[in-house]
Amino acid sequence: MSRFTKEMVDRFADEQMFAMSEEEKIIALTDLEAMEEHMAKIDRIPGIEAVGPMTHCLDDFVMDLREDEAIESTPIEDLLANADEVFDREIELPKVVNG
Amino acid sequence: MTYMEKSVEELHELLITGAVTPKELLEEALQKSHEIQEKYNAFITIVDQAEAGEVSEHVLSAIPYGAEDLYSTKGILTTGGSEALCDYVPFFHAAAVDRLEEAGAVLAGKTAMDEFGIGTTGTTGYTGEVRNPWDSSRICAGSGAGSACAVAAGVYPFALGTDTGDSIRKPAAYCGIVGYKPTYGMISRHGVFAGVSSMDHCGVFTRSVADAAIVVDAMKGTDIDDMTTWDTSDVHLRDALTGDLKGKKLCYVKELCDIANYPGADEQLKAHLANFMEKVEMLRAQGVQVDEVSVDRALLEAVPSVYLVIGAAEISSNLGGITGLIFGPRGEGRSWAELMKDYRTKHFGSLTQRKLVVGSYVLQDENQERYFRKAQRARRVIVDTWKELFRSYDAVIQPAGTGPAKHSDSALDPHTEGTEALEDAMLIGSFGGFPSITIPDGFVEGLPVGMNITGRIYEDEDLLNIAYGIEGMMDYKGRIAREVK
Repeated sequence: MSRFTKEMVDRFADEQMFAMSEEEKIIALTDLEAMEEHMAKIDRIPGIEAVGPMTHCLDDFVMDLREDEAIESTPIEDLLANADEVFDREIELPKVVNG
Repeated sequence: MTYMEKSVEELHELLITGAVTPKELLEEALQKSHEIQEKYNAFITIVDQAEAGEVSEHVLSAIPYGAEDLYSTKGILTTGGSEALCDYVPFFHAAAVDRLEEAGAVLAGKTAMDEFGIGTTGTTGYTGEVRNPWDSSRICAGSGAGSACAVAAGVYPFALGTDTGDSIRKPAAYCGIVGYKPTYGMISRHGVFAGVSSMDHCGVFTRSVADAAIVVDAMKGTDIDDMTTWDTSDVHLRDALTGDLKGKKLCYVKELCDIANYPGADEQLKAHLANFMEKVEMLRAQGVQVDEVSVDRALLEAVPSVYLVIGAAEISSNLGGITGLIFGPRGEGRSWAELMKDYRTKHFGSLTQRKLVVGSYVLQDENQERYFRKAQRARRVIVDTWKELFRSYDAVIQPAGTGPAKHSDSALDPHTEGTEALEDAMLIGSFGGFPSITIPDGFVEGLPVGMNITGRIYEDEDLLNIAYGIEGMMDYKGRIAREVK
């Protein structure tokens, strides 16, 4: 019996801020059920626990802070050009606090 | 041969001597774009309003090109292949596009792609499947399907792509052209929608190694808007191309390339691997040392799984910013959460949603160590193994994928068990940020196949020179796709 359920798919999708159709949920369940097979393959690699997680391609990368100089910013009119709802010079959003 | 079927350097010579005008070049590129769109659905936007460039000393001046639709382009629709961004018109160019504009190149098209670069087939973008110009019943692979198709079909000499898994190098192989992903951070990703940030690379499709060098020379370098970029001022890719392979040591991995690994192999796989081994012998006959090396099969077989876990996790994080609140068609609802959920439900494609579900699962508090961190550890072991190879060898060569372009209907393709590691071996180039290039190296059943060459990080000059030398031993450079079926 699968350890995954449609309710779990609903929850994961909800946390990602969307909903899935019943048909898509079935495919997503298949994806999740395949995860253990994927992890079994990963577990077969020797020496995994002896190394740290690799989070960046370039291990020797040195981050240089740039000078703290003011640079020209984008005009607000340009930033607003793609917004569907604008009020004055601001993007109009739905109420967030107690919304 | 039409103008757009020529190389960048040939076109520059024609422009400098006045044998062709920038206007004539652009008109040809746009006309061909419309023809190719009709046949293969390679574009999201054809920039009909583009203005012809001016000829300067820069070799890219006035040369038309295309950019995958993941690159932001000022005043030009940029969708990332997603319906969620179907009305997004950026107010700025991606840094790479900016640099090409400074060089004088002319953006003539935004090419079709898998949604947000997530797919591997060129069939999941909201504008539909991109068809292969060698055989329209086949795919171009993805995500950079449109760019690969356009360059292969002779629309222009180069087009930009992004490579997170093998999204430049696989489509290049399927379309019979060159696909080059430089060392991680060599080209700024500013203005390119992020997918898997720890593996996202910018790169280019061309029809020759020299053109790939020229284009990346123009795009590379530090950018204050991308903190992963590094100083490339000492890197001069085109100037470094001599084709001299003297003293170079190459290797291939037996567990990937030896036909004996695949009992019951189909005829296509046999032909593909035989073609690769012919090229190995060709290199040896030219005095190049090519050794067979062995790598733990367990490590190779885990590569697709490692990519799946890390990829899904990082994508699910990066796409969190696509809300529909600031740009994209706003959803319906009474609260911000309802608006966002409605928008993402309606406009994210099925594959994207499935990736996000997996990403959500592996990033749950109780799962992070078991899945995500473990996959990251596995990534390090795999990368360290390749780095160990690079202590002895200048490059690792391999066949790109398991054969020529696959059919849109996968039931029509032959299938041999146990080929997943070979199919996805180019992912290793992305895991380590290694420079990696695919060049055409022959035909199987009348369709192009490619050889992938991967080298040490930061040593792009050396890698491209090896590719240039190998390319020069064969006769596949500059081919234009012609339908064979």
